[in-house]
Amino acid sequence: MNKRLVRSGMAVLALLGAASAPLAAQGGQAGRVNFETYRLPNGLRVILAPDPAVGAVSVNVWYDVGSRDEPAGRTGFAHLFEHMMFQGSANVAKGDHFVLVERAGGDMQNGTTEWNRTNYYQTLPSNRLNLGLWLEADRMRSLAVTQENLDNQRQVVQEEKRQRVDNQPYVGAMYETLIGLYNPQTCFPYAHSIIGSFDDLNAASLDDVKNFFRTYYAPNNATLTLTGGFDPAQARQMIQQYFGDIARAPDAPRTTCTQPFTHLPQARTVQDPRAPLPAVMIAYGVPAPTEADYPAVSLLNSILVSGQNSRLTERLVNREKAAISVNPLFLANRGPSTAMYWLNAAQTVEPARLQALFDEEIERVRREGVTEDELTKARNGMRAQQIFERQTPHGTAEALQFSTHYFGDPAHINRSLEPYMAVTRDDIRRAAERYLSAQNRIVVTVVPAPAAAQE
Amino acid sequence: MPCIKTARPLAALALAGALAAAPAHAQRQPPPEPMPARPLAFPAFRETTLPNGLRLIVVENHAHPVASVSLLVGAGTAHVPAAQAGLANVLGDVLTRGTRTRSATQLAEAIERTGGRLSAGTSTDYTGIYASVLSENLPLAMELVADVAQNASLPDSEVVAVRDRAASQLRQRLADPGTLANRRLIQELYGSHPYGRLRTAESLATISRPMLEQFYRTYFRPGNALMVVAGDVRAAEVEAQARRWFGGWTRGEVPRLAFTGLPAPTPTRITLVNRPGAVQSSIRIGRLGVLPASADYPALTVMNKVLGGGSDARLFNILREQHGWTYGAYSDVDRPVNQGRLLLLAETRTAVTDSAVAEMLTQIRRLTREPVSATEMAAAKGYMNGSFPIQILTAEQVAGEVAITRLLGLPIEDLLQRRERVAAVTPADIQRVATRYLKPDSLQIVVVGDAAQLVDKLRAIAPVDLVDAEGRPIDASALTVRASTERFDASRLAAGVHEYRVTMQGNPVGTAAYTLARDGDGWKRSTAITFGPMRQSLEARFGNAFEPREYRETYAGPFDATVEARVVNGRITGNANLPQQMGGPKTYDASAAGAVWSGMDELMLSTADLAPGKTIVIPVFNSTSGSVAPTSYKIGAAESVTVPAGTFQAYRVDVTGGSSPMTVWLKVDAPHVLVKQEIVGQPIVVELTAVR
Repeated sequence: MNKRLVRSGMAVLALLGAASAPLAAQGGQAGRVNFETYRLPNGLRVILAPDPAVGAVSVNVWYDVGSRDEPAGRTGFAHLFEHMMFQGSANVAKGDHFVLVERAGGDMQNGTTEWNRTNYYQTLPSNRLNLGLWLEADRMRSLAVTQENLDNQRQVVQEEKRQRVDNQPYVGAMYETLIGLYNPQTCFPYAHSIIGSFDDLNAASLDDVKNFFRTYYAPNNATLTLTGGFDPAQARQMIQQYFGDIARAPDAPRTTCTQPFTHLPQARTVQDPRAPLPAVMIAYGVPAPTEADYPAVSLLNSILVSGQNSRLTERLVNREKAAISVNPLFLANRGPSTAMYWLNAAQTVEPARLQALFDEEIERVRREGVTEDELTKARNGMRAQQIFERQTPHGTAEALQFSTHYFGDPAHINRSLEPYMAVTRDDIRRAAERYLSAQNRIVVTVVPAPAAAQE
Repeated sequence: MPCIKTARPLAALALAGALAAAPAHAQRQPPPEPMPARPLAFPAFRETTLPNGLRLIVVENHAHPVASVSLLVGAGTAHVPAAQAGLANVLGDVLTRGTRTRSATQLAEAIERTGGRLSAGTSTDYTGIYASVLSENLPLAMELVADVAQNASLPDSEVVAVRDRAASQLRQRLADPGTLANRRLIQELYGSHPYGRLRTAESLATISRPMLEQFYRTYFRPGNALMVVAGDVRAAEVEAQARRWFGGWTRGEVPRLAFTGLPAPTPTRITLVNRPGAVQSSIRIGRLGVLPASADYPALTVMNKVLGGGSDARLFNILREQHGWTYGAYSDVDRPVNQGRLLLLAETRTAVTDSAVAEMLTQIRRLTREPVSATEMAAAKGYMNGSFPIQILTAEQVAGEVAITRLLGLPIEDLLQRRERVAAVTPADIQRVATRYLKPDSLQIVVVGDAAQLVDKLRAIAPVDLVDAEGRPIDASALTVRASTERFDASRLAAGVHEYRVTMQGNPVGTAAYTLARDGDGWKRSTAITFGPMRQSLEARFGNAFEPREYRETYAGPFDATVEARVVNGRITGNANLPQQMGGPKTYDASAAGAVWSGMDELMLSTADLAPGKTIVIPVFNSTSGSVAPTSYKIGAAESVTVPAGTFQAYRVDVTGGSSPMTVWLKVDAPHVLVKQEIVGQPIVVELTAVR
């Protein structure tokens, strides 16, 4: 109903085709981010990283809630709530958040939901920092959680699912792969979709939604990050003024994920009436970003799929012409993570042949490892990607939030490239052998649905 | 809480009154006022010219260890003769596909090893080559950009692939009313000026490697190029690198582009491009604007923001929010190297097209007669000046702004003082530039839509020139559907079944069977199609002289639907319960004069005298739009076509005017049976499998 709502959405879709995870690490030699951090008495965590040369400021809030926090029976709440956050609050009319930011010349404003967090952000000219803080504080304090808004946004979310999931070829299968990788008995947080179940959403009462807001949208469950051109002393004072009187809430409950990959291997076939060609989606269970093996797995992922001459692209697309494209989805969770490869078959190529070629390349890397040249290229790519991302205040703010939430310390931003630089060829071969095994994966084969296979 | 968008003609009043007008929220506090604006620290830069004439600008910005190289060469679409239009775009796409010493793969590898990016692209005035790297890799970036600028190999296979892809994209886009409207407006505004050159199927077909090579050798010369290097770099080092990699680039005389051929201004008139059966119209209103150096440009940009520069502007608020006539309505002002233009655009339903045109003209007149309110001025300037620092956050963005300023031949103050110049614009300035540039009595208006429904209503607004989709003038009397002038002989028909398979990118996705049988004293043609989960059947009954009688469509699978129509007393009547994405429920009432049912056209062609070069037009009833539209079949050369049923000599026939453009192959020998069918721009192919 409003074009602005279309911009709000599930972050995971935006990751399609991205070469790597929403990584935020940064090595010492790549330039330091100087910041200060503190908490308000109500628990709001604040990170200030001023860069006086810049004429704009990014106001960025992460709420520590994502679809991983939803228990069974409450799926889809985190994403529904992200929509509710644009429906108005005590001093801001419905839909006016976007208008006010736009009239101030603001840009890059949105809210997105994924498994591990929900974020809200805008970049404003420096002299409108006060507007950004006022807007974020107003909705944190006084969001309009009304029956009318709830009913309305349930409709919008259903429409979003129809447009972005049901009506798109392959997207349903992509979610089936991402979710099927996790054991629903032992790791429900990652074994259900972001958009959730319509039955759960429809069953939600206004009180359920109000409770969700009180629990997860409290200041003690949020981190406010400012980056770009601003005066930190003035910012501290304004933050106290706008956020200081918002009441804290009891700590939010957390769900657990243990033994997520014990149900593997899994293999499924999905009939997709919208798919023009077959596809094979293969996801492996990989360690959390905090674990020692993660940097090696991440660089291995780059070597397999980053760039025109990467291993899988070179073999499957360029040489054998068996695939039109190879799309990686390397998703860093705050917990067990995902390395997924989505292979689109070329005309007349059977999915089995495509998978056989993929398996040959995986077996080769498990047996022989990678070359020093490949490792250097992957490291350079990682470093460059992180430096490019940090050119804008928004990119730096996201990187600080990532360090804070994934590594428990914003200062991690200034040392996180180090483990990548220490990875050896042997580390990569061992990581390949350990994680890219046929035992540790789900394979979903997508076939265009023939008429007879339909109900 | 209802939406706060204006519901009154005076947007300013509504904006000011919005908060007060909502009593339930009367206690609302307003957002904080802006703090004092910070002075803008624009990075320092240095300009030099190499001995061979290459202009170099270095912008030092040490905030992040990155560097970007942009080489802009004065070789855009405007530099290509009309007969070869499209050449520059093809060149832009093949530039990075190899050089004398590096294959496409080697070029990609060289840049990817560093985590950098290399690309090229073409616009009206120039072709750009861009590299983005960590600053430690600046020498490599300059080496690669230099290699592409001086030694591109333009491989023949790539040229052919890019050209053919461009041709098929063009054919697909010409079916889009918005594209037709844009192209027509450009022709009306620019005539034979270099900015009026449009690519066509014919111009693309002429493009060959030697022609590209010639263009590249002529225009890619140091004196015709401008290089901007920005980021964590030192000017002296960049200049040394530039001498190393570009010093040997040899000078050459580049032809001076003659910016002539603008048509003389005419009184306001409407060019109505007929799209029979269209349910939506595309509206474009334009007028020539300014040259780059014009002091009126800042006022024009503020005027544009108020009029239609986004969703917080008059056109959007009035045409969409207030009237619900359109999904969006916007305006635009541009500033290229030569003559710019002003533009208003909207897509509307057929029934409200004339109202929308009239309202857009009213809004133009209002700008000339009434000063813009203080509230609207503040909102427009707030956006424009507030967003400026956000547009120059990265080295790449800064490089782009500096490069464009220089390319337009403007002093750098044009960029540095942009905010001050916008801030100085007054309501009187806007009234003055609106009067000067948006002359309501000298505008070009283009409407693409169903002329039969629009022509009389639009004539009440301004004189109308009526043209067909190819741009040829047509007479209003031609809007009455007429039977084809071709002779079709139904006695050549024979009962039987033709079976087809449907594939998508080579994979079977369905089947089709066409059955022709006697039906009383006439014929019945039945079509049964399966496509994925969908089953569709069509039944057309007609008499011995191809006169339509009854028609039926049914759908089953993802949705169920039925279409029923018949001819009674010279009119097509009936109804349909189509799903929303196919136009929703419908009641039919259209003149049957000359019309035939869908499917009959193919049978008629099978009996006709076909010859290459001939075009046959048949009016076909379209159940989705509920109207009759002339469909053109242009017979091309005979080709050998292999399908599962065998190999046939068949005419290649281009079909336009129907629901989507198609290519079909009809057997050379009579009856001219359909052998193969392709839908332009979609990977769907239908091929004959058996004849029974």
